[in-house]
Amino acid sequence: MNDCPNADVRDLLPDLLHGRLDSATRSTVESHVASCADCRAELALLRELHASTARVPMLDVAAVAAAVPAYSAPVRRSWVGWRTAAAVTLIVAGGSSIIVTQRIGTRQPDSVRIAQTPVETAAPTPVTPGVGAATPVEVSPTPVAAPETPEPRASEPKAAPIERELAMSGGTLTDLSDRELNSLLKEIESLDAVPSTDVESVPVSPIAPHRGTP
Amino acid sequence: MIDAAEGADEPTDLDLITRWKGGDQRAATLLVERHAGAVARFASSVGAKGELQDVVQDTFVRAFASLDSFRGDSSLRTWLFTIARRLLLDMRRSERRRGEQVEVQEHDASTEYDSLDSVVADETRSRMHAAVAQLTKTQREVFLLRVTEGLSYKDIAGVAGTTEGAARVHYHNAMRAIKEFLDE
Repeated sequence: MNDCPNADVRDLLPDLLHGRLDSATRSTVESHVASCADCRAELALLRELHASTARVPMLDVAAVAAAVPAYSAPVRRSWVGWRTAAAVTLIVAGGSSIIVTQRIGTRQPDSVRIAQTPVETAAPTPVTPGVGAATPVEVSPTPVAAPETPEPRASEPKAAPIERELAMSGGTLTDLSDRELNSLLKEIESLDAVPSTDVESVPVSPIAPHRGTP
Repeated sequence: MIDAAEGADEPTDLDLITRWKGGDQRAATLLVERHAGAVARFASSVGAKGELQDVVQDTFVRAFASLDSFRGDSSLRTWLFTIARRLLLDMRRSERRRGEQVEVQEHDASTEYDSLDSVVADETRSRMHAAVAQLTKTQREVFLLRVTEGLSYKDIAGVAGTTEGAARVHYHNAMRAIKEFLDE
């Protein structure tokens, strides 16, 4: 059995067999088959092959049909639902950020005082342990003097200033004058140790090393 | 080309799907009766033997469970073939993992057709079965989808996980092999 050189027509013979050709194409193919012995033989072979392979294996169709479940509509989340979820997430995340920021803000005086401990130990007036909240004004006025006198006096225990500063956190900031408060705030702004609340600056510093920039 | 899968006075597959979604379980039965034979035939051609009933049943159960994702790009029957083929592949992989499977070689002609030969009285039909059985597994799958089921190359590519061009080549190679077998 030979192959017809018209591959396009041969390609369409199974479609002709199954009646899947539109009328124009079917007419073209049928007229070719009528004049081509090879295509007639191939079409006859396809009919025999189809007839012999179309036999359905033994199957319990009723059992298959009985196994088909009843329809249940899928539960789908609407866009409104997604938007609501996104809004709730945003509110929770934003609220958490505010709370964290506020907590950091309330701790700032402690941080500042601890950071200023060397300054205070270098202050001209000796600190008396146990004075506590009565002398808060001594904390901030002379920060510039710190580099010049880095070493505290040997007779003065290092823990004493810290203990004193911590004792100040009991609310005695209200005793500071406006000028002292402004001075303290300026110092806070100039300190690197103060946690930044600038949102845009946060991702910059940790990402830079990963990008391999020097 | 036209799709003549359903008669003019019969409800289409999409009609029956809509009715089934509306609570008409009889519509599901009609769909099963319409396609179960073809699915069984296809599953048999790609290697389903003793588990044929289970494969066909699981195919329909999975298909109906996910009919909402059926987009109608291809015919329902083509989609069912795709599901059946994946089921069989999954079963074969599981069997291999358990060490139960004897690897089926590409040229292994031991298929359902061999067992069918004994009940096919007509000599011509027996020869046709033998001609198809000597094809490679891929050639046989493509050829039967093309000739027995009447699928387009595009649909065959979707079912068999190949390209239209590759499906066309497999079909013509199969046709040439069958002619050579019958000419011997």
